[in-house]
Amino acid sequence: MTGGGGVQPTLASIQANIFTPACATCHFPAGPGPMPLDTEDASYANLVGIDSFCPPGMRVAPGDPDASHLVEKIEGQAGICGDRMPPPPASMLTTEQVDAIRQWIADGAPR
Amino acid sequence: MSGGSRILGLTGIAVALACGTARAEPSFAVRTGEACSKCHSGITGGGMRSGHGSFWAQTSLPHRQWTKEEGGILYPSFAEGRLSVGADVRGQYLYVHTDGDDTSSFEVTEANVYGNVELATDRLSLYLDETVGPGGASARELYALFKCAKDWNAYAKAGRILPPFGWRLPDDDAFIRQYTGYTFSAADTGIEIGAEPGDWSLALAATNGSSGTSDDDRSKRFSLSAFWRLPKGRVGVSGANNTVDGVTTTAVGLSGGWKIGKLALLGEVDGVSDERLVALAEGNLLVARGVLLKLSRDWLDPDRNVDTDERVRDSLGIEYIPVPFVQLRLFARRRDGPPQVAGARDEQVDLELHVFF
Repeated sequence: MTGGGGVQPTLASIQANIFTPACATCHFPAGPGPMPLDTEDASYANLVGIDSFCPPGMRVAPGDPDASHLVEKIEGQAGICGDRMPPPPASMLTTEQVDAIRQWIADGAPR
Repeated sequence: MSGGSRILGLTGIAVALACGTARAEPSFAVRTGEACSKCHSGITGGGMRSGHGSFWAQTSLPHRQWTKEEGGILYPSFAEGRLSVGADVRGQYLYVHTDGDDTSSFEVTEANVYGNVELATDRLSLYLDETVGPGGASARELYALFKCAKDWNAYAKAGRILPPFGWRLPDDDAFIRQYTGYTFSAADTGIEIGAEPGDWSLALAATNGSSGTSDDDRSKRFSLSAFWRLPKGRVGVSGANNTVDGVTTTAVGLSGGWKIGKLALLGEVDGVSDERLVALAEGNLLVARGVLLKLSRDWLDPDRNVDTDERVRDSLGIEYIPVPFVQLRLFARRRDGPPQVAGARDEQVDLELHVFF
């Protein structure tokens, strides 16, 4: 599967097209957002297989996008802790971007 | 208030000289653009970290994080619960050079443990900040906190508190803290109310003015601070008034902070009772992930009517957070002032280990 807007369901593509421009503006070392997402290494280390701070679960559960808090946050699902991501007033990720992240996770969230 | 505690009540200087050391880090607030309450459960900064503060400190500050396999990833124990704990422990090696003598010593400069119970989530909590060393144990802060999170994050504290005034710096020896009397050693008993409407953080406290002891008069110390957060920084004003045995002491201050890329700047100027002026300028540069470089100058004019009593303190240091919960700080400081004032002139190097969660 190929995500829209040139986003591929790989960490490299997601980093370049989503995490870096949309997330790392806050999620960088000593930035306002915890959990730096400014590099592929940082994103992988902070997301994949890591317990979520809130609620219980994993941020990215390899192979299971529906059990991944990252997906809940970017889709703005009910019951998430805090704001959806990116937070208002920023626009939500496009369906194609979300699909690319979902597919990457479904593929096992490879490094 | 008794005459014996008058000096403490007036200025807090004696307490400040006892060199209390628990810390907050306002440069982080300037760097992130967040209110102090985002990372500290006490709302006005310092003391126990909030859930977000602990999470942020463990993931965003360190040079690297421990992996699960290395036994890492604690995060706060209270993300879902009502009981939370925390601690700050600091030890240092201090070398002091003076004209007459050099000394060095190992010291435990801070050992504080924190406990917070959310009796009603986001509405009522009981908070304890207990100093367990050095010296004897004592409650630095102990208060009930009532919150209306939906209404501008309005709150009220009642108990033993650290009243608000200016930047709550991680350095009680900074002149702006020592010589206004608002240090981490100068807790007082009373009430505090505040709110955070929009980009504002407002706090007003009425306390005994007796540095934590019971009061024996009707006068109270009033302290206030108001900070306005801007996209790249913030500005604030502070004020204080205390009347003891018919003598009124007032203090007013202007504080500010600004972020320029990886550089966070802090500044504060305070005037105390038309006589004393104190100021601070600090630059805080994020050199690399987990590495911060700090440069600051403290300036003190104890009496504006006297031209030869000014004092300065210059500090240059580096802070390194290699992994979560561990901070190493290496600072060189030079103090200069009138030679007849004891302790006004020396050079110091201190290496500090800080363990926190």
